[in-house]
Amino acid sequence: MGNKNDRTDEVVKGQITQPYHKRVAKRIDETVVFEFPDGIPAFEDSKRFVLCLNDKIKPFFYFKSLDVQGLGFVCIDPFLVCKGYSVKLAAKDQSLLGLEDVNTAFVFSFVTVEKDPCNSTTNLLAPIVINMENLRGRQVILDENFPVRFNIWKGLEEQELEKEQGKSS
Amino acid sequence: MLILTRKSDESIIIGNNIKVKVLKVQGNQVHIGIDAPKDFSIYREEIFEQIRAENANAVQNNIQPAMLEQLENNLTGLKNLLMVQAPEKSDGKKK
Repeated sequence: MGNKNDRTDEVVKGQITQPYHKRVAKRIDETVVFEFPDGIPAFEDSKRFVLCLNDKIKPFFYFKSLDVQGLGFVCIDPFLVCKGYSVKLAAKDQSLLGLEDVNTAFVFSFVTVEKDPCNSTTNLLAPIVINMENLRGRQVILDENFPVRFNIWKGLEEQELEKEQGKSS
Repeated sequence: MLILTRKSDESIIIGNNIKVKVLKVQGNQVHIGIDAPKDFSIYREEIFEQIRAENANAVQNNIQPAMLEQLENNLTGLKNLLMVQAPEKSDGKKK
């Protein structure tokens, strides 16, 4: 942003960089129902979801619809797979979520699971953001150029490379 | 579809609270300014469609006991990769 005046007055505000589990994970279990007033793009009829944490698939977890039977997503903490990832919420999204303090936001991203784990990707352009204060959530579309299909394996490899380089320098 | 002709700096009003203004026309690019209430989401169409398509791709219709095993097998592969690559997460061994 900045070089192009694509958006004039919709200045981004909050920036979330901490992983979800540090602050709000405690408050999540299958009895907590999240409201998505606009649904999820392509699944607009689905407005209530729960998270299923399951040790077997940790650090992944399920995000299941209560309205459409069998509808669900596999999710992950995007900050874990992409170093330097950040979510800059547009003022509009913040206001739709009723989010006053970005520290009460819970962020995760959908995973497209492929048979070959090396091909699995996660959607960094459109993370899910939930305001843990009111349990309202939405899939936001970020202004930055994050990929819709971010290869999880490659992201981890890059992180590892960076670490090695950090050690040797 | 309603078709209106506008010049730079001219606007149209939709309902009584949405204003769409043509800011600048430059070759085949049009700069548009939109004033709308806060609870209206505004997206570039192709990006919105891309997100819809990827959601449809990512959706798991198999989060049901019968199909879960295959999904979890696929996930375990990924998870193993994650565990190898993210050793700093191991805060205590599993029992």
